[in-house]
Amino acid sequence: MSATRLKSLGKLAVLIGLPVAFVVGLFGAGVYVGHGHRTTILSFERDWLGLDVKVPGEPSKPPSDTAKPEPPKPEPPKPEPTATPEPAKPEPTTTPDPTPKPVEAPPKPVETPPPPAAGLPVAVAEPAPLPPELQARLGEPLKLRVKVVVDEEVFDRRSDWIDYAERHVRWASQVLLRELGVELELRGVVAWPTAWSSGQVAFADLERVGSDGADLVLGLGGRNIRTPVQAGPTTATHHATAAIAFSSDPTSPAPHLRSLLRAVTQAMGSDPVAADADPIAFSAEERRILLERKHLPFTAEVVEDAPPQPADEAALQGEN
Amino acid sequence: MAWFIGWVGVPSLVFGGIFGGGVLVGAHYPDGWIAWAVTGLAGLLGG
Repeated sequence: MSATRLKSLGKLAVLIGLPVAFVVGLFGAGVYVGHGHRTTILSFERDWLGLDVKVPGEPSKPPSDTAKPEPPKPEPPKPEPTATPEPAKPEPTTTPDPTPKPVEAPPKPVETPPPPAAGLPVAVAEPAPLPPELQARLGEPLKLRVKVVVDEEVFDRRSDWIDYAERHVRWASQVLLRELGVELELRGVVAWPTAWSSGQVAFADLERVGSDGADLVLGLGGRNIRTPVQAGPTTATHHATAAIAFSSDPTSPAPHLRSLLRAVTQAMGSDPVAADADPIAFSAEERRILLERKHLPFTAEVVEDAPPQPADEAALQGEN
Repeated sequence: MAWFIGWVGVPSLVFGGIFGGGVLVGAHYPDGWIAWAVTGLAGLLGG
């Protein structure tokens, strides 16, 4: 091919390629901005344009509900004590009924597990019936305070990483409430500046993260890593204080749910959830172990260089 | 006036529309392949 022809082709490529590259680059910049400010844009569309869109992180409620003091704050990683104590009551009764009826309101001491959770994005098997002694254990409420640490992989991929963590904790709490009577209370979500390449690396970093009053520090790693051990060491008298959950199928609507359930249950001393079973199910024997260990404290394992002293145990008890 | 419309107004509309289209795609389809490709490329360039 002659130099003249090459020169002509080069000019043609520049003549056509530059405008195309400019347009594609401009569109890509728009996608990048839209992806990063998704919450703001969707809120603007809903509030100012009146469009029917779902803002991530906010439950879809009818506009008649006012006085909801929950401003969206996705950027600063502040501890947000999001508790979910109330069951869903979609009927805001404003008209006084002459015959008040106790409609579907369960009494405070929950003796039976709540109805099957319909809000889960993946299939979870119904909990198996329990013998009476374990049924009583199931009814004993336990609120587990968790703090979530996301690694750089999750932070980069998810612009709504705080909402992402909150959703997964909420879903895991629903499952654990049904299976074990354990409710997860999210105390805070923070981002860690490195991507975890293994469970060991993650645990080393989680040890450096303060618990801020949480019972369990949970790490969410963005890489698809299969690790058999997902929690710190447990003993016959203590649960672990740290656990790690790596991502599974990124196309799943809940990539971290299975590993999060495994992490929490391993921190409590057992591993009832199979790595690959679909739907997610708790094995009966492991579930029994967890119910028996349910009320053990979440404290770090004490390295015993000297004989244990009563003062150390008292200090550990005081932390709980 | 004609000059302003021709050299400022119309190009702004066109380029603004292209950019705004990207914003809408990025906001409404955050898990789509376009957003994945753009964020991946931005990650490579931005570090």
